[in-house]
Amino acid sequence: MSERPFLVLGLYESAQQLVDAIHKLRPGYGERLEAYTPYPVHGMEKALGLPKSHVGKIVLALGLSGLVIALGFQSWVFTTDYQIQFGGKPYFSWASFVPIVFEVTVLLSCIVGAVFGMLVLVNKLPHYSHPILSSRSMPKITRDRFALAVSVSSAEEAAEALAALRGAGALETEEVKGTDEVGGGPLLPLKPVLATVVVCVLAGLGTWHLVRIWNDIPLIAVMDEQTKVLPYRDAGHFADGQSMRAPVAGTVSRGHEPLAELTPEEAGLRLVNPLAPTAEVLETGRRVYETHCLVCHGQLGDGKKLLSDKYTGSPASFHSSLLKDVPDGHLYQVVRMGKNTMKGYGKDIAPAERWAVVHYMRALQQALDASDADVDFAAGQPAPAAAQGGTH
Amino acid sequence: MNKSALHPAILPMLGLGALGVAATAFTDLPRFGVNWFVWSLALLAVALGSLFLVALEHLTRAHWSIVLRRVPERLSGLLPWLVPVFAVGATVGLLGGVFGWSTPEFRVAMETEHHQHAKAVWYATPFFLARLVVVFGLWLLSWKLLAGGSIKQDETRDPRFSLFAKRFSAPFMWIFALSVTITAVDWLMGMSPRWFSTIFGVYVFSGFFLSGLAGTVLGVLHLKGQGRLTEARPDHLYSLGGFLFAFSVFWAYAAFSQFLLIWYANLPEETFWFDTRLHGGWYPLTILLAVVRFILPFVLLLGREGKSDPRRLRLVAILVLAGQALDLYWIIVPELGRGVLLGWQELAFALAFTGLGLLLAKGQMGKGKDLPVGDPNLDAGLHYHL
Repeated sequence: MSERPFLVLGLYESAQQLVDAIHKLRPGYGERLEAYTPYPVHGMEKALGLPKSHVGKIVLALGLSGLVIALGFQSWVFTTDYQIQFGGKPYFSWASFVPIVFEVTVLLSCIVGAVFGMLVLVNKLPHYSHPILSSRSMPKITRDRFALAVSVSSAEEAAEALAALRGAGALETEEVKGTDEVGGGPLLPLKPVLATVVVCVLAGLGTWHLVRIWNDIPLIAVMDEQTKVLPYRDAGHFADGQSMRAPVAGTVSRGHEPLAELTPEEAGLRLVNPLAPTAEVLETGRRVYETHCLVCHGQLGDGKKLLSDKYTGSPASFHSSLLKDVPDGHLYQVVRMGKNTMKGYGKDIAPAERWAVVHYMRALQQALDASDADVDFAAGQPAPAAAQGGTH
Repeated sequence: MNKSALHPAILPMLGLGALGVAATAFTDLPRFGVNWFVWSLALLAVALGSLFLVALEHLTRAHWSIVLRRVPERLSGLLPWLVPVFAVGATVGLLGGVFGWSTPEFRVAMETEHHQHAKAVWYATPFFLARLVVVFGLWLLSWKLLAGGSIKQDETRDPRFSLFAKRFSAPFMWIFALSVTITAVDWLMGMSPRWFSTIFGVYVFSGFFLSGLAGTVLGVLHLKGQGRLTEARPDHLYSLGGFLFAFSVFWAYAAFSQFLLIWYANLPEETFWFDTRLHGGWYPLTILLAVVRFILPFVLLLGREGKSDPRRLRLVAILVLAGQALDLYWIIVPELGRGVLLGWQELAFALAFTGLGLLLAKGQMGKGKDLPVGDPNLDAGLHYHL
């Protein structure tokens, strides 16, 4: 492409000198003038008589379309295409659409409208450069000189414009050559750009189809091939093919209770109540008893159930000589394992609570069979719990 | 005709309105109370919003608004006149049980209901009065320091005041934020004392600041109409218009945030407040509020030209001030539980308080010079270009 005179530049020392020069040259050159300054100069667009930019209209149009698209799409999805109730709200709940409407409006108006509108209208895409950027004057313009440019199309015009710029007080002048009729600078190489886009799209679609047709092709082998434990498969971590290891011999797990397998009789011989019958322990025992035991064994522990007569079981009375004589460990194990139709309460009642409820059962037994001394004691003596505390 | 004279309609408006206000006081005290709250808070919004604008300029070292600063400084001079207005409001509110929290019903609720119990501390009458006195004291002090000092600077030309104002405006922001929130809780949220919304203070603040801006716009245009303040060029008006636009959007953002979360969560203890306002006669008013406070200012000020066009700005400023009164009405009056009250009483209050506001603002417009000539940065403001 042949170069030709494209524009001439006159450099001025201050913004005011530049504006004065513009006023001098405007009658003759009008729309062929353009200014380049190191910083935005107030009132420059008025001095140059620039028309109002179209970016604002583009932004408004795209913002409105964002509003319509987001509102319309959400309305369609939530009322027609895929109805889901959210929190008992109607399908068309415009208020819940607002945040997304807002986002899409901003996205389209600012990112698409303002940025792309500016790139095309102001920055003249698909031109990716401008002759002035490679001129000698450019470093000065970005520092402290104010340039007035006149676009020209022939050597004669250039000479005339240079004279006019000097006549308006330019310190220096420069003639800049360009190639293209429209923007002067080189165009983006459209064919390679388009070819790249086409190749990318084809490669993406092709890969997608390949994966759908032959979905055994390990595209991302790293994540497909990891060693992990799957149900009913050989894990492959250990020689025996198992994924879990047995604990080291003699390991006691947390919360494990030894001697769980004892019968009540054995437990009566081997377990001793570790708690003292303090007021606090008896209170815990009472609470547990009323929660779990009372419905069947009754308020007094006499086996008079509160349940309906349709329940035909006959719960034990604690006041039988048998239960009065068995040791605490026996009662403890029955609370835990259950007996006859009584279920085991081991899962519901913690060990300390089981011992506390045994104390409470003992208290119930004593209450129905109290001696005169017990009555005197209850009438105002210090509690035996306080006296006995710590002796066990 | 002498241009600085009072507009001939103001005094008849004020007189006629005052008659209606007095008649309301003797016939229907609760209605008098709620309308009094609405309009005294509307005047407070203009005065306090203006003072905030002044402090904001000092705090941010803004130069462009120095040219206009005398207008909000003068408008904040409404504050001392509001002391008797609020004294009447507090008396009626407490003795007449017009505050939502001072009704006998809620006094019992604070004794007996678990969730209301904690509010008894806040809504104890002595504490409320103490808050009112402290808050007004701080406002008057700030007004004296910021606006009074600035007017004094016209004569002394002492640049130390400008430094002082910049330092003082930082603590003033704390004073302002806390006092506006307290006022919002006592006078507005307290009308419906079982209700709560954590963004409510922000919502009320945005309305106050908008009112201050709108008052400033009207004041500047009024002075320009008299051939004064010719230094305020379209560049200055544009920035003021931009502020008005931005804070109309901010009000809508705060208002919608408050609504969306409460509406979506649908908790009975929160949602009833909006339920009242979205049904029956209040629903059209809710729509009107959104139109007047957000949609119209947004559309009118969206374009570049609108922000510096005096006629457009005047229209939006009037809309904003009307919207502030409507907003307060919409917050306060539904809590009376008597439906939409729009009669001669409301008209009388609107006339009386608009007249009072114009009269007071007009009186303030003579204070000091039109430009803060003592401000060392005034020159930068005069040469402000977009």
